[in-house]
Amino acid sequence: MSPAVVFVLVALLVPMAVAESGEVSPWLAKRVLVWAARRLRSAEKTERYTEEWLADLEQVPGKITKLGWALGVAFLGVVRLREPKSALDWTPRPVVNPFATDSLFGPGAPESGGRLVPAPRAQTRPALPRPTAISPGCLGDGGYVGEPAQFEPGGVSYSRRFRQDPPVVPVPREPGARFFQRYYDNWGDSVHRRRYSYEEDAFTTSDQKAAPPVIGL
Amino acid sequence: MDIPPFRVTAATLDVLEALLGPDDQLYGLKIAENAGRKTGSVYPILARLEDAGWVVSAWEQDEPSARGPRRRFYRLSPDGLGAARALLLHHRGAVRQRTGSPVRGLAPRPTPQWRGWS
Repeated sequence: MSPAVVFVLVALLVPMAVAESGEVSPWLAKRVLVWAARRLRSAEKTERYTEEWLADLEQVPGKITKLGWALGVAFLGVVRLREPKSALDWTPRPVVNPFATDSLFGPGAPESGGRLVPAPRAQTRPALPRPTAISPGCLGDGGYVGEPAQFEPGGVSYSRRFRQDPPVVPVPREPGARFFQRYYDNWGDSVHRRRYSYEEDAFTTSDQKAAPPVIGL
Repeated sequence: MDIPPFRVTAATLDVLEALLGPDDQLYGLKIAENAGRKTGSVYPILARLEDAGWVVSAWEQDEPSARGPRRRFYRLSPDGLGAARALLLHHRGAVRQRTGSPVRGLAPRPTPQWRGWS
C-alpha cells in the first residue's frame, strides 16, 4: 500500500472515528447510567439515581468525558449503593422426587403417585384393655412395679411392654450419622429395590424378548 | 464525641467538609468536585450520611418543565451540622470549608501544623 493511500485513509478515517465517537459518547453515557441504576436491586433507588445521575451528567463538560464519568459512576457507585442480595430460604419443605420418572418409553411409575418417598407409617399403639379391678400394677408412679396386672389377656404384659422408658443417655454419634438416619427414614430401601421383576421389564414381553431400541440406524 | 453510625474514612471527611461550604445548592457532582473525590465514591457516602440522618436531600424545584432530569441537592441537617463539625475537629483538628477544586500537581501545599514530637 502506497504511502499516499495510507495518508488519505488515516487523514479521513481517524477524524471520522473521533468525531463519531464524540457524538456517540453522550448517548452511550446515558445508556450506561440507566443500565447502572437498574443494577441497584431497588425500584426506588433506580428511579432516584437515574434522574439524579442524568441531571449531573448534563453538568459534565465535554463529550467523551461524559462517557468516562458515567463509567466511573457505574463501576464505583453501583457496587456500594445496591441492595444486598436476599438471603437463602432455608425453610424446610417436604422432599420431592428428585428423579425424572417420565421417559421416552412412557410415563413414570404410578406407584405412590410418582412419589418415591414412602408414606409415613401410622405410629399407633394397641389399645389397652380397660381395667376391671384395681391391681397393684395400676397404682405405680408410671413405672413398672414388678408384678403384671391381673386384667391382661393372654398373658401379654402390657404394663411391662409400655412401661415408662428409662432416660435416654445421649451417645455421641459419628459425623454424618444424622444424615444417613434421615436419609433412611425418608427413602428406606425404595431407591435400591427393583420395582419390577425381570419378566416385566420394559423391553420384555410375555412371550418373547424384544431387543432394546437401537438409536442411530 | 458520639461514635457515628457509619465508617469514617478520609473521603467521608472530605465530603463533610464540602457540605460545610457556603453553597446552598450542592449536588453530587459539585460535592465531588469540592471534595476532590471521584463522583462514584461520593454518591455512596452521601447515601450513608442520609441514612444516618446527617444529610437531607431534595429535588431541584426550579423550572420543573424547562430542563430534563432534576438535580438532587444535599445539605447537612441541623443535627448533622454539629456532628460533622465535631467529627472534623476530632479527626483533623480544624474545620476547613472546601468551596472549589483542590490544588493538585506541583502547586505548593500548606505546611502541616506542628504537633510536637510525640
